[in-house]
Amino acid sequence: MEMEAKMRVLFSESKNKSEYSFIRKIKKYRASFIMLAPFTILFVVFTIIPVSSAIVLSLTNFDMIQKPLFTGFENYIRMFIDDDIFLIAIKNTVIFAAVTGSIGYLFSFVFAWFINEFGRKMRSILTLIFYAPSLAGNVYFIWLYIFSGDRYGFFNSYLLKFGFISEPLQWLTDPKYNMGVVILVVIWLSMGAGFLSFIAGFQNINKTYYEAAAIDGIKNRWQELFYVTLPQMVPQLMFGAVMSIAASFSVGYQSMTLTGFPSTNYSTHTLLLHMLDYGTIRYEMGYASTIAVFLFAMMLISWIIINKVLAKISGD
Amino acid sequence: MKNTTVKIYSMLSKISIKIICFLLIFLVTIQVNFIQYASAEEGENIQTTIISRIDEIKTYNEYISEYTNNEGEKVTIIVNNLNVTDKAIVFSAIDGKYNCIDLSRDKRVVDFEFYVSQSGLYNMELEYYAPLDSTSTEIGLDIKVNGNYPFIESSTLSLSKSYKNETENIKVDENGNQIRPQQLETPRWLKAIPFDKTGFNSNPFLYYFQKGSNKISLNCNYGLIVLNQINLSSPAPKIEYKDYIDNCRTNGFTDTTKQNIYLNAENANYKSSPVIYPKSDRDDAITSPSDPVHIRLNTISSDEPGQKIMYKFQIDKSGLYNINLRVRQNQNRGMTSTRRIYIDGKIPFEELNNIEFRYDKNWYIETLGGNDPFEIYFEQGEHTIDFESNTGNFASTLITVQNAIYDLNVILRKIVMVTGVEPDPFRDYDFSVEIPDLIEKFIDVRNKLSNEVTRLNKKTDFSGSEINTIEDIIRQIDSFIKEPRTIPSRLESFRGNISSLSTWILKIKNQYLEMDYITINSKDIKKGQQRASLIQQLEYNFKAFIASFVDDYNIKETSKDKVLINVWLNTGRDQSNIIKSMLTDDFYKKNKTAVNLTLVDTGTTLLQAVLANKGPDVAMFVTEDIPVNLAARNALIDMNRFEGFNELQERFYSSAFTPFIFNSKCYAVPNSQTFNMMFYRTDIFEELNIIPPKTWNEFYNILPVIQRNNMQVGASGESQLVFESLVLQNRGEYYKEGFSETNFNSIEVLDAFKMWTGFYTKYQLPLTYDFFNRFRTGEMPLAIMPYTQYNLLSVAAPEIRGLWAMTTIPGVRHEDNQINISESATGTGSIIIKNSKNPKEAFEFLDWWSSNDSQVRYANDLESTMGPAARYDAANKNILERLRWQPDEAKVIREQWERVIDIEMIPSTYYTTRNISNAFREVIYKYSNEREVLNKFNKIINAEIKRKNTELQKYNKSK
Repeated sequence: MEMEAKMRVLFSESKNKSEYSFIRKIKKYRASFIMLAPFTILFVVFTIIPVSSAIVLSLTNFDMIQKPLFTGFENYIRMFIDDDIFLIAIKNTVIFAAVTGSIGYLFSFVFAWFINEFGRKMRSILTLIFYAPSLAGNVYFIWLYIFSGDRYGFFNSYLLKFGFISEPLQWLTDPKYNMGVVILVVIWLSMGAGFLSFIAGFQNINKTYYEAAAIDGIKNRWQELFYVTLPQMVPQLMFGAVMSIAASFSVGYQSMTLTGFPSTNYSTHTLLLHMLDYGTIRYEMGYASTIAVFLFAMMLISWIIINKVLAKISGD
Repeated sequence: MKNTTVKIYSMLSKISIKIICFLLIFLVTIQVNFIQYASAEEGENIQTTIISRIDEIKTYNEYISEYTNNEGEKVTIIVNNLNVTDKAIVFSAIDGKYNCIDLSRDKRVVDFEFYVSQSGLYNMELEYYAPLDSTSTEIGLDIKVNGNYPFIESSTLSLSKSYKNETENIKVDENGNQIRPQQLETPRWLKAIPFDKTGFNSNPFLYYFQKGSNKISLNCNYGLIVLNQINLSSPAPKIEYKDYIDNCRTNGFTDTTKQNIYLNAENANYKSSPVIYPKSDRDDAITSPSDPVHIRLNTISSDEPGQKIMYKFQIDKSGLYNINLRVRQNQNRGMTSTRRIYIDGKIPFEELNNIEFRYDKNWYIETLGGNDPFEIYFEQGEHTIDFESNTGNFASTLITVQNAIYDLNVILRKIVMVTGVEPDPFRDYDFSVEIPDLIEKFIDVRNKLSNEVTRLNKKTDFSGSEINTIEDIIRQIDSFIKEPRTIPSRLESFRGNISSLSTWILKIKNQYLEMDYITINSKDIKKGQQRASLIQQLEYNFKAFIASFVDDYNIKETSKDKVLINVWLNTGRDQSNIIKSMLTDDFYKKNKTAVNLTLVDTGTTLLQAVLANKGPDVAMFVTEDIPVNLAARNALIDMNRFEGFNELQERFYSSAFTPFIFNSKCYAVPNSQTFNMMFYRTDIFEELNIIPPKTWNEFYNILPVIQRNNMQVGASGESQLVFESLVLQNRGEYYKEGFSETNFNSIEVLDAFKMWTGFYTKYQLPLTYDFFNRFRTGEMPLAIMPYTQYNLLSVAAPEIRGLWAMTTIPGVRHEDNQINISESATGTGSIIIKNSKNPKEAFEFLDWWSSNDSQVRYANDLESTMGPAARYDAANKNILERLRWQPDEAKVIREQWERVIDIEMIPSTYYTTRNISNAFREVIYKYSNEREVLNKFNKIINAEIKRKNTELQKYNKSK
C-alpha cells in the first residue's frame, strides 16, 4: 500500500514538473523502480506488446507468411458492414455470455452457499465433485458420446427406446439442437475458479458478524445472506464475475469439439471461433486481429459494467 | 455323374468362397446387362448349388475322425521331380540343390503322381526354399489330393519363411541407444509341414492316401516357393518322456556337470516372421542385458500360431541337460501360452509338443518339465532348438467359440430381421411364430459353450477373467431361453457380448510369450534369479529417473562436411526410425547430404515456423490443403523447376498431383493416397440372394432388400469423398476454367448433389455409424469405406474371414453403356519450403524417397514393425503389387485406383467444403429443395473465391 502511495506521488508530480526532475525522481526512488521492474517487464512483454501488436495488425492485411500490408480501417469496415458471419458470431457470443455466464455465475454461487452448510468432510467431497468437470480439462468430449448422432449414441438410444423419436437426431450438427447442447455443456463446465473462490469466501466470513446480526434482528437465512454474507464477499464476487465473463466470452473450443469447426451454418460460431477461422484456416491474421481487438473491447466494457454493479452491492 | 460335378465344382472353388463370389458376380452381372431385373431367379439356382458343394468339403476334424484307426505301418515316400506329370515344368538348381521346382509367378501349380504301398494317414513335409520376395512374409498354399481338397483347411495352408537380424550384434545410435535391427529375409532350405495360421488346428495335418497311385496338386497362392521334395511318412509312434529317459539311461547317457549354455533370447538365429524382433523391457531391472539409462533390446516375443524362433548352440560335453527359460506371459489372464519345442528339428518326446506357460504379470523362470525337470540328451557338437507358437489345447476351444459366434450372429441377424436394429420395447414380437427354431438354436449354442467352459476350468488353475467373457454370454443366453420376450430390449447388450466374444478369440489365439534368456544346463547349476529384488529395482528406477533429465530423444545427424537438410515429419516415432535406418542403409551411400529428421505436427506449427524463418527445408506427410495454400502465399518452391521432376512424375498417377497444383505448377510430391472401396458381406448377400452393385441403379435396387431385412447400408455419411466421386462420375467438374468460380450450377453437379443427399432423405441411410463393428455383426452388410479399412478387418475380425470382400464402388452408367466408376481421393505430400538454403538437395531427398525401392522398403518395414493393420497406402503407383496385398486384392484396388481423378485444390477450398457440408445438412435436416440450397451456397462460395483472389492479388501487386 505504501508503495502504491509513493508511485501515485511520483507520477502526479512528474506531470507537473520537467523531464529533468523525472529522471532525478527515478534516481531518488530507484529501489522502488527495481522492485517494480519484474512485474512491469512481464506485464509489458506478455500483455502490452501482444495487445498493441494485435491492434497494429488489425490495421493490416497479414497472411502470416508475407509481410503485412497496411490497409487502414478496411478490416474494421469489413467487419461491421460486410461480414454476415461476424453478426452470427456476435449473436452467439452474447447468448453464451448472457445465458452461460449468468447461469454459471449464479449456479457457482448457489452451490457454494449450499456446500458451505455441510460439515468439513462432506464439504471437501462435494467441492471436488462440482469442481471436477473443469478440473479435468478437456473432459467435455464425453458429451460427444452422449449426444452422438448415431442410433447407438446414449441419448438417441434412450429416446428411441422409449419411443420419443423414431429416427436418430443429429444433436451436434443439426442447427436446431446444437446450440442447446453446447450451452448445457458449458454450464456443466462453469464451476471453475469462481466457484472455489466463493467457497473460500464463505469460510472467511467472521462468525461474529452473524452473531452481531442475529442480535441486531436478522430474522432468516435470506436476510443473513443479503445483509451480511454478500457485502462481505464482494472481492470474491468480483473475482468470480471476471472469471465468468472471460470464460463466457471465450467459449469456442467446447463448441468446436462438440459441433465441429465450423459448425453447421455457423450455428454455434462465436467470436473466438470466428477469429480462429480467419487466423488458422483462412490465413488472414490481420482480420483475425481485428476480431480480437473487438473481443477485447467487449470484455473490457462488460467488466466495467460489472464493476459498477458490484460497487453498488458493497455500498462503497 | 456325381463325381464329375464334384470335380467341376471343386475346380471352381479353387481358393475359397471369395473367388466363387467373384465368378457369381461376373455371371450374374452379365445377365443383368441384358435383362435388367429378370436374372434374380437364375442367380438363385446357381448360388444354391455352388454353396451346397462347398458345404460338402469336410473340416479337418471331421476328416481325421474317419481315419483314426487307419495308421499304417511306418512308411516313408519321397516325392520329387520324378513324380511330376506336367512336362512343361522346368527344373532348376537353386542353392546347392538340383532338380528344384520353381513355382515363380507364371507357373503356380504343380502335380505329383506317386505310388503308395500302404493305405493310411501320412505327414506331408515339404522341403522348400523361399526366394527373396518382399511382397509377402509367408507362403500361401493349397493342396489337393486326387483333384479335391480333402478338408477345407487344405485350401488355405501357410508355410513360413526365414528371417534374421540385419547384423549379428544390435547397432547402437549416437545417443547410446540400441536401434531395432531390421529383419532380413534369409532364403535357405527349410523343412516343414504346411500349417493353418488361424490356430484352429494345433496339430500338423495328416493326409490319407489309398494304396496305389495318388496325385497331389500343389498350388502356390501367394509368395514365392521353390520345392525340392515332399516327404510323406506315417506319423511316428508317440514317445512319452518316461520312455525317452529310460531309453537314454539304457544307452548309458549320464548327467553332465557344471555345463551352462546361456542364450540371450533376443539374439535368435532365425525367425519365421519379420514381426519377431528384439524388444525392450524396462519393467524388470535384471532382464538382460540391462541398462537404466539407454535403450537395450533385451527380449523377444512371439504370439501368432505357427511363428517360430530358432537358436543354434554348441554343446561341449555329451550328456543330459535341463532347459530353463526366463519368460513372461502377462497378456492372457488365467490362460496359458503354448509352445512346441523342436530339438534339432524334431520333437524328441510327446510332452514337448505342448509346453504350457502360465500367466504371471512378472517374469519367472520356467524349467521344462516343472518339478520333475526333463533331462534331454545332447551329443557334443552344434544343435538347434526351435520354439513354435501353438494354440495347443485351446485349438478345439477356438473352433467351438468361433462356430458359436457364427451361429449367434446368424441368430442375431434373424432377430434383427424381425425387430429392426432398434426394437420397440413395448411390442411383443412373437418369436415362437416368427423364428420357430430360435430357442432350440440358443440351447444348442449354449450347451456347446458351457461344455467348453467346464473343460477350460478343469485345465487352468483359476477361473481367470478371460473365461468370464464366455460365461457372460452363457448367462445371457440362459435368460433369453427362459424369457424370450426380453430379447428385443436386450439386443444391444447381446450384440456387445457377441463382439467381445470375437475379441476374445483374437486374444486367445495369440499365444503371447516374451522370452529373456534360455539356458541349457547341467542339473547341478542353480537356477537364475527370477526377478529383480526391491533394492535392485529401486536403484534401476532411480538411475533411469535421473537420466531422463539429460537424455536426448531426438534423432540427429551429425556430419559437418555434408549439406544438412532439415526434414519435418508428421508421423510417429516408428515411422521416423524406419526412415532414419533407410537413410543410413541407402541414401547416405549415394548422396552427400545429411538429413535431420524431426517429428513435428505440421499443421499450424509449420506455418508459424515459416513465419519466424525457422522452418525446415522439407515437410513430409502434410495434408492436402497445405501445399496450395502455402504456394499461393509464395512460401513454397515449385517442383517443376527441378531436373528430374518429369521422371519422378512417372511414378504416380496424375491424380496424385491434382491437389498439389497451383497456377499450373506442382508444389508437392505425393506420399500417400487413399480412396473409397465397397465392402460387402458375401454370406449375407448370398442369403438375401443379391449381388454387389456395379452401378448406382443396382445399388438402389438392392437397398430395399437389405433394409427390408432391417439391416443397414453405409455410404460414408457426411464424408465429401462420395459427393466428389458422384460429381466425377457424372462427368461434372468442381471448378470452372481458371478456378475463379465453381461449377455448381451445372446439371451434372446438381444431379450428384441430389443423389448424395437422396441417400439420406429418400433411403434413410445412417449418417454416422461404427463401420467396423456393424460390418462384423452383419448389421451393415454393405458399405463404402476407405480401402485401408481392409487391413483392420483382415486383422481384427477373424470370425468373418472369407465371408466378405472388397470391390470397386458403384458407378454411373452413361449412354454409351460405359460404367463410370471415377473417384476422388485424399492424400498427403512432401513440400519444399521457400526459405530452404539447399532446395536441390531437398529435391534429391524427395526423389530418393518417392522412388519405387524406397517406398517398398518403407511400406514393408512399417508393416513388419506395426503389423498388417498399418499397411501403407503409398501414392507411388508402381509398388502396389510389391506390397503384401494378395493378388486378387491388388487387382481390385488397381482397377479402382486407375479411375481416381481427384478434385483440384484452390486457396479457398476450405470455403467450398464447409458450404457443401452446410448445403448437405440443410437438405438432410430441413428437406429443402436441393437446387435452391445448392444455388444459395454456391453464391456464397463464389463470393469468397472472388474475395480471396483479390486478397492474394494485393500481394502480387505490391511486389
